[in-house]
Amino acid sequence: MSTLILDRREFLKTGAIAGGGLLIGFHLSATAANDPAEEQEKKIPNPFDAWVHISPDNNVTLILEKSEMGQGIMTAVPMILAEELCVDWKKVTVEQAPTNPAIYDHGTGGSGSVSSCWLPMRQAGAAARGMLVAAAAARWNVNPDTCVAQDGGVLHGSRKNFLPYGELATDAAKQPIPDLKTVPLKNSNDFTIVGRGMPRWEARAKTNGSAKFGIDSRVEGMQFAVVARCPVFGGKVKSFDAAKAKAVAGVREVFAIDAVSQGAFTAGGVAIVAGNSWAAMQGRKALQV
Amino acid sequence: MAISFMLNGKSQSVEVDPQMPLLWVLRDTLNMTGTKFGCGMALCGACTVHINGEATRSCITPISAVSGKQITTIEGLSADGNHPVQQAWVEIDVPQCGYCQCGQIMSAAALLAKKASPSDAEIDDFMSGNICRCGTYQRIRKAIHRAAEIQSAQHKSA
Repeated sequence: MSTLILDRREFLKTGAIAGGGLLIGFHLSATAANDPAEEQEKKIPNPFDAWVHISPDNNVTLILEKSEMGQGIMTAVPMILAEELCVDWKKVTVEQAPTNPAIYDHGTGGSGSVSSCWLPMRQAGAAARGMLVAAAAARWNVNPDTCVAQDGGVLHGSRKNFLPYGELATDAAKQPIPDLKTVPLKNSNDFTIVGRGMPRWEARAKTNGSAKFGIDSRVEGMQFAVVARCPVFGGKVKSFDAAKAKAVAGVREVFAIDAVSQGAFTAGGVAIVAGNSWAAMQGRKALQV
Repeated sequence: MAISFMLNGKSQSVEVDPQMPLLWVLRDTLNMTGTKFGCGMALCGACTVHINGEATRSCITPISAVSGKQITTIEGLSADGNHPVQQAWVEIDVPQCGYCQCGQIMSAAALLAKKASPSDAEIDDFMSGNICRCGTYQRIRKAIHRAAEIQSAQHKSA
């Protein structure tokens, strides 16, 4: 049983991914990796919270359970991966992991993301690189030690023997999975990406209005709410009269909400739900609490 | 009653409370979320758009006041995100969290439309209504100078 758990904490590779390529799953979140076995069991079939995919058409995608808040996390973490994988970091696409609290904790804070991602990202990149090199060596029937990873591919001898990762990815997925704890990491003297200033990954999205902030989330049938909070810390709603708030055009519902202290924290209050933010704000002004 | 205006070069008509600020019509009625809600009181500049070319705070502009006018938002500032100000913003890597930047860019574009090569003092004066909590002001000023260069080079080659 412990072996099974251990395996799950190491790599997953799968040939089942649409379009092939090399998919590796690993752990970034210390919480996830340290979960007791039974908690990990509940997270089947996907106990990993970070993924790297190398597609046959040479795209490297990192699924990252972090939030970009201007600290540059979506630039810095792919840089670490690109460094260890020996690819141009601009060729690494980063996607924010989906919302699924059972798998991804999305914890981003305390200036801890780069330091906590540092080793797992390097190990993942190094293991993927090792598998790609092994796949190339097998194809050329040479010793893997005579092959080197560079510029997003594997080189043996002359430049004629160069294969981009995309052409090796599906084969690499069949290679033995390196032990994360002993996989050889790059020497920091050979770093060409880490330690250098890089332009922000999301700069363009933040200059054309397409960057999505929390307030920009939209789902089908979504309503907009304003919550009237108690002006005194820890206060509770005694009574309220919703009649005037409900009379505001566009206001749909007015109801009390309890304080929440599990997972998220809110103080509770009276919610005014409307078809748009403006109507909800007007409803809040009209509400008598 | 329907209110009609030109939005990013296309005619647009909405049926909303005439008092509803342009900001919320853009964000909630039309789902154009590039224009941001910051303070709702015209104090921060995050909601800046162009109305007939003038940088205007959309959060306090009732929709009834824009009837028949030309409105430009960040989504329509350029067809491909390559307005000189946007180019300079990416080149100088201005945004940090980015929340205020669409408003900053709209103000900067309005400034450069009036003044092709503004001085530091003119930039500081014109941009004083746009607040950035990350404190990117030094880069904003640098990027406006750079945008002025890009704009002037485009005029020469045009």
